[in-house]
Amino acid sequence: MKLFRWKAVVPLVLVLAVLVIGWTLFADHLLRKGIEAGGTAAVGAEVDLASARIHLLRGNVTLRGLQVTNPDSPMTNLVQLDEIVAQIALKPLLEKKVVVDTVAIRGVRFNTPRKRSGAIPHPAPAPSRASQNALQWAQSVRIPGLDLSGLGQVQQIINVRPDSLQSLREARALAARADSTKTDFEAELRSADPSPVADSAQALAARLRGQTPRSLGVQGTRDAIASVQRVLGQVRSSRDRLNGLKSRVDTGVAALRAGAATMDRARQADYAYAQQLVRIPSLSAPDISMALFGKLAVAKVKPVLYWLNLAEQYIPPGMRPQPNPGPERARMAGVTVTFPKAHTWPTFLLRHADASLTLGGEGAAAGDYGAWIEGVTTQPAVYGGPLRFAAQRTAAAKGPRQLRVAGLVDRSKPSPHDSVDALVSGVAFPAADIDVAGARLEFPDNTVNFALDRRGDGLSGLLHITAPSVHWVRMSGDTAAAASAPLGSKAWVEGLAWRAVSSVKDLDLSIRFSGRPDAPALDVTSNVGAAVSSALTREVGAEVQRVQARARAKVDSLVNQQVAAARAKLTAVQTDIQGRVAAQQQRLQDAQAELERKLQDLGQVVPGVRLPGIPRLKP
Amino acid sequence: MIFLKLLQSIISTLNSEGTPRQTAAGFALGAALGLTPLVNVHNLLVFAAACLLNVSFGGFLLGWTVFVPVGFALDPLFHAVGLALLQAPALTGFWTALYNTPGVPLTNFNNSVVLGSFVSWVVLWLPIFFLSKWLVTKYRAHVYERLKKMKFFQALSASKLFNYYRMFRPRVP
Repeated sequence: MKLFRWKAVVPLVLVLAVLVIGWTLFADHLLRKGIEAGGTAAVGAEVDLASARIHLLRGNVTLRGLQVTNPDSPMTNLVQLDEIVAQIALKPLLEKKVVVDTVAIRGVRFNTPRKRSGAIPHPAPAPSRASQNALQWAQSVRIPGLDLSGLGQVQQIINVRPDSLQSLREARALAARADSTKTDFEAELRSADPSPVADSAQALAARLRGQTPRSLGVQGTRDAIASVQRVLGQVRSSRDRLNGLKSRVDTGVAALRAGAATMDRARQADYAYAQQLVRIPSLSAPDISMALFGKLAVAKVKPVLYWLNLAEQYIPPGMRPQPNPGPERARMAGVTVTFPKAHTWPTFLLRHADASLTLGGEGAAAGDYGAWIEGVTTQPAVYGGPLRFAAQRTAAAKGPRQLRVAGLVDRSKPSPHDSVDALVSGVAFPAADIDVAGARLEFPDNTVNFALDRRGDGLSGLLHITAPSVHWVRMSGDTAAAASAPLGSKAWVEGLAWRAVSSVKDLDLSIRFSGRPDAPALDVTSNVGAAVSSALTREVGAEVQRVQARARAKVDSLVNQQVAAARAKLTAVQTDIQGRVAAQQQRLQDAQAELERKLQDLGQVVPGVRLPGIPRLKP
Repeated sequence: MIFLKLLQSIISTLNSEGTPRQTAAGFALGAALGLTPLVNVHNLLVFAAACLLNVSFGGFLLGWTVFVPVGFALDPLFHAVGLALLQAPALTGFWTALYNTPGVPLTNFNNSVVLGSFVSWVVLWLPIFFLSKWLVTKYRAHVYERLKKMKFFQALSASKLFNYYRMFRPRVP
């Protein structure tokens, strides 16, 4: 029986030829459908492509008539591109990797009308992790109010519940830690007790005091030197153990000191809590700025966190295998794992793209733009370099006078580094409602500086907005009613805040965010906040200070005893354990010095002359 | 028509075409197409092997048909097997080398279901072969004698469509 059926070769070749012809006929169609389906899933609204053409031998892909629907406005395109020509490297395709050498984009238009709605039947997929994280952060930011109604209730007893005080909890924890640290170190000190070694060293030194090589003789000197060296070895070993213990004690005491600092910060938080109970806000300029512009600041920083989270999700650092959902098919999709390797092609790489475009029309975006981007990849660690981009407006028809942005996203190393710098001048922001002042801020001509720097788990950013001639519009209340309103009432606060803010003509607002990238702390300062702060301080500063002092005194009366006890225990650890360790160290050091001197004396009959047969000295 | 042809070839295969060994070999090869997701490069190679090797093509089609529902049913198991292999720390170096070798990623080996089902097929190939060989032998000895007297069976065997199948009919010694 023959193993091969050679006559089946021709039909098999025919089948393969049919497959190749099928690919040639349908590849363009499949690419178009793939881009439309992938784009629609990513955007959450229809993405349409008029045509796609693959020239596989030339490594060239041409897409024409790309329309990306705005998910928030389905009759409008977010962006419409007439033609995209991409030059693709062929060899990486054999590894199922797409490396785009260059991209040229022609005919870019934004916000163009659509002939039909681009809404999709199920447009509300579960919010992405990035958007959920950003939303959680926005909801967690505490924006203080300007409620001064407590000024009329100063005679009331401040009802502070001890179990709500953070400093009490911290004090108890610190005391417990100090106790346990002291017990542990006392046990260690007992087990490493150097007294026997120190006693024996001192006894030996005393025995040899007044003795010379002459009085001891050769054998006696030799024995004495051996004894000294043996005891010195024990002393050095004890000192090493004691040094190790000292280092651990120092670390433990430093941790306890950090606990004490946390306790102090908790006390400040308790003061703020007590002030809240009597409805007296802080009148400091940063707190007032936060009260005035907190909502605006959160709205501006939230998209930044969203993009950072998105970069984290789609551009992961490192070289670990990455699991992703498998392709959709009749069979189970499973999980597709990519195995990155250094110095190879990443699964997707856009080496360089240049865009030069003109936006027409009468909108604020009308003008000429130039932009470039390089190193766009899904596996930055494999690519080994950062994504860099820059864009600027080269000529403006309307809208911002100046617009430039540059940045890098470096995920090629385990610790990510992102940096963005942007400047926009002449930009108009939508009017912002400043509720606590019952006012609306209109700032039509702003200069915005934005800087962001993220290194590893540390993020710092600044959004600085300056506007030369802002306009304030009173939204609620009136000046006459505010004048007759009771001290501290909402109308009174609004009236006072209105008088303060309406006198500010030039806005200077800084929004700083720093800390962990998923939950940065927000800090707002502004000249408007400073003006309101000084007005409030002038009007009710003394009264507020009196109430605040009462609130602080109430907190102090509840926590002072526990805090003092915790501090005493910390001091005990410091003075007792550290002191004992230091004393033991000193004793051993003295004994060692004396023995070394004696060793030196025994080693020579007269200076420079050694006795024969005396062992080598090891100082 | 395709269904008819398939049915005819399966009946012919089971009853008279080729030795039980050739039928079983075709059946075990066809199991690959049923057990693993169809549109993958390894299935093209399996198909080419079924055409070029002197195995029963009817057996190949029968194996494919029988194992398609089995493949669907066992997908969660294949996924678990594939994922365990892909995430095994000891194999990471091997997968990384394969993943970065030109041509290999086109096989989609790095998909848990593809790898799990392919490995399962490789492991099951011999058991499927021996089991199907035993079953074909038993069938021909006991069931065929009764079946060939049925009119439907005789009509199907006489159909001209049967001729198309002859091209891939195994060479009987």
